[in-house]
Amino acid sequence: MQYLRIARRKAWRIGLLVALAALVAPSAFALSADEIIERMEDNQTHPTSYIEGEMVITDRFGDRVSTFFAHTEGDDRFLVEFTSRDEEGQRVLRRNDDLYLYYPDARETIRLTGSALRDSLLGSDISYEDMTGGRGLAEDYKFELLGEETVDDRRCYKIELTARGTNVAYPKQIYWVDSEDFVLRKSEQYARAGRKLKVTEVLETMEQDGYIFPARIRITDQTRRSSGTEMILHQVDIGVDLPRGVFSLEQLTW
Amino acid sequence: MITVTDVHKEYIDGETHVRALRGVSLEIDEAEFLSIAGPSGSGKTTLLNIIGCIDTADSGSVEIDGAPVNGSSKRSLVEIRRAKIGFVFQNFNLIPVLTAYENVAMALALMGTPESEIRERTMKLLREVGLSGMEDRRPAKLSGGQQQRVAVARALVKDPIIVLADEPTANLDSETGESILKLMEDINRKRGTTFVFSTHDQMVMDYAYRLCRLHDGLIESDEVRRSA
Amino acid sequence: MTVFKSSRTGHHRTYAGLRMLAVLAAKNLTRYRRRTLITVSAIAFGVAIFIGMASMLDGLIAEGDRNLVRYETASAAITGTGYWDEREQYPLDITVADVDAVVSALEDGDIAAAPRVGFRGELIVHYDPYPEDGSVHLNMYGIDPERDARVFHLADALIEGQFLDPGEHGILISAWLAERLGAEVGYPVTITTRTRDGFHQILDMDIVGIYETPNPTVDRSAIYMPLDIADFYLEMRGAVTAIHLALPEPVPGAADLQPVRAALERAGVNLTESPAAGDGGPQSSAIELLSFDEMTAEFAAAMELQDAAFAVVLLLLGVIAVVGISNTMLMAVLEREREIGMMRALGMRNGEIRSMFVFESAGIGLIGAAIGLLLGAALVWYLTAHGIDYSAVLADVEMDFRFDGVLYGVWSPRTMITAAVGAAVLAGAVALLPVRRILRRGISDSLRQH
Repeated sequence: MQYLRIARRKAWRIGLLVALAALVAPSAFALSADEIIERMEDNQTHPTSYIEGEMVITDRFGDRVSTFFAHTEGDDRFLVEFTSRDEEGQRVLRRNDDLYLYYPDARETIRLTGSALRDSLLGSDISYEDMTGGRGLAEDYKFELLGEETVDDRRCYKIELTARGTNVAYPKQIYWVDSEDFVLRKSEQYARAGRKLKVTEVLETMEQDGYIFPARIRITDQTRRSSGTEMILHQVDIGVDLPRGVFSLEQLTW
Repeated sequence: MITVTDVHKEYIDGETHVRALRGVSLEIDEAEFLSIAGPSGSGKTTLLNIIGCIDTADSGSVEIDGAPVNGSSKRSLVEIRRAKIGFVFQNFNLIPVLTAYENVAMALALMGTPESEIRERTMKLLREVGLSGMEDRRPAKLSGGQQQRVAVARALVKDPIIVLADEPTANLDSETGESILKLMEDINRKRGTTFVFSTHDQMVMDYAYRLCRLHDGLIESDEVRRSA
Repeated sequence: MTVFKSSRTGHHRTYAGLRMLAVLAAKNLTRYRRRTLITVSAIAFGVAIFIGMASMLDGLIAEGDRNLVRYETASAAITGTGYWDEREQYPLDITVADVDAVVSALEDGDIAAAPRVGFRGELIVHYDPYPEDGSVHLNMYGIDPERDARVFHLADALIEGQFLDPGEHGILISAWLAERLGAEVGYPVTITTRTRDGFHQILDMDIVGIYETPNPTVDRSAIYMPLDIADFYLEMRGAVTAIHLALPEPVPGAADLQPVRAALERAGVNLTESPAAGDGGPQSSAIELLSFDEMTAEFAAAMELQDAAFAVVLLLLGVIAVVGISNTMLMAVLEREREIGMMRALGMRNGEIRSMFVFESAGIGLIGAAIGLLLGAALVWYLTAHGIDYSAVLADVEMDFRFDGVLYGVWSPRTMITAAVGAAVLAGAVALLPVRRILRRGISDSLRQH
């Protein structure tokens, strides 16, 4: 009789331990917010690429389509050139933290600094500011894993990003990172007082050389109705040989 | 009192080169009543202008009261004309906006004569030329003869040493012209003012006491016609 | 009977006396009635127009200055050093940090001070209640309602609704903007902007009042909200972009800044450095005092351009006058060549003949100027009393201007006298050239004429 009592107590304690383990286990083997973001960023970073695509800007007057091609290198270099008629030949060059615009008609090169970075690219919902940064979200934001949610039939990690300092434009963002392929499926940008500014959704993805790319992205301005920008990528080549001096200033005005 | 010695004068008239005086010599005494006659182009107006210091001779000399004039500056010539020489023109040349009195008085005002004296002398002279009562009339309201009388009064009011009259009767009918000549003759006798006319009018020539004929820039003849 | 005054006597070179020549000149004016009349009319016209235009220009400047002082700059302003050069960007990082110290220093010196935060933002409206969606980039100002009313005239410009109250999420927009958006008092708006640190920011506000000022630059570009609201959303931490001051001034923009410096000095507020407040840690932020002239330097440059344009007009008028009179005088001189010859034969000196014609010409100028002066005065009277209504013309103009539809003239006796005297002098001078030509000719040649 005494033996049974002791066994029961032990079982109880073991049961408790198991139960606790069961609770803790998913976390112990699951990823942290930092790790999720890191994997997401790894997926986004490639040595070089060549991209062809188009931007559809919608406002209350209708749609405007601008086609482009771009070369990228790493996180912080790209050259975009527009090929649609209205902005043909216009270029945007990024080298590290510097952004340059080139207008062929005026033969003018402008370096964007300060408040000029807040202007939007061709009137879209993407600002020049949005095109800079990217040195690693971890430097600028603190991450908090809020849980998991389904976005478009995909299970995603929901992570809240809070600005560490004042050198970013969005004080708060929420990311939904796909738990399988770590593609950023959806993000929301917030203003300082907590109002939602923008929602960015990935509508389609495509795979190339082991990388998964968003093929169609939709950005909607939450302060306006019927206003949004859609980015569609038609072709993505990874690891291409970039043309010589493609990111030089001389090439910019060529 | 006026001595002209070997005076030459040339001028350009359009395309032609005119030698108006080619060595004229002349002496004019006080109280002379002299006429310089000749056809047009003979140089008589030029001679008159040189005597009157309106023009200067190219060579030769002109002396007025012993003082040479030919080398003088334009300024001094002006002063001489102002004080010593009176003119009477064939076109009267009165200032139309001034009355008869004002036209005459102007000659004195130019010399800085005091107001009261101007009045006295002007009125006296207007009476002398037979225009009392007409002082306030403008030239437009005066006949040709009356205008010329005003001109004579103007020439005389400053008591000049010489009065030069260039064809004074040319724009007057013979009767009026004669009355003007008579007037000048009267004044010449009463005041002893020297009168020199230039003319190609026979009547004027007949009136003169002395007649110089000019032809082609030279004095052809110089004779005393009649005496006072 | 006319009296000829003569001057000195006894002197060998006696002078005819300017009086005689002047009287002669005056009488000669009656010789060519119609011609003289036309010339006089032309001069009168020119002088009158000049006076009218000068009046308008003065009115424009006065109005512009007044509108700047009342609605934009006030008599003077205190800002962070270097702010004014960047003001077109509406930077929020060049500020006056210790606002309380500065404001109380000024108010102790009996100087009304209005702190403001100026920033750029986008105003967004939506269909229902608005007739359609719309958005516009505007200059936005957080103002202290009570203090602002002591320095600016915005409160007086309210035509609908109410002025601002501290703490309320309300804005004032202009009637011009309200009309374009289809807005009414009570309608909501969304404002997107950036905080002082650069974060995106959204404000939800309601229109509580509609204003209308005579300053179109303000009406077309500015909305106002309470300072504390702006401070909260922009995270200004108590700092402002400018403190505007009201000072007594005889003419808009001509205030004496010495009392301001004295007041600040008394309170120990240094104009080169001012201790920061609120963001922790000693920080020296320099502030400076800007005069009206310094703040409106560009506007003054634009005015100078107008002055230059005006000078050109003046020149043209002068040319017209000169051409007009010189033609008259040329004809007069040529017609009287024989008479001139006679006068020279009579012993009149060249200088006396010149004087006579100059008097004659100046006489025409003077008469024309006198009439022009009267006409000009009448014109200026009309302009000051009724003004000219430009509102139809201005409605679609894009540039910066600072007067409302109706432009009033300004009395300037100095300008009027200058115009009249100038016309007379110019006219007199014009006679010299034709006379010179005649005097160069030989007397006998002149006598030979016609």
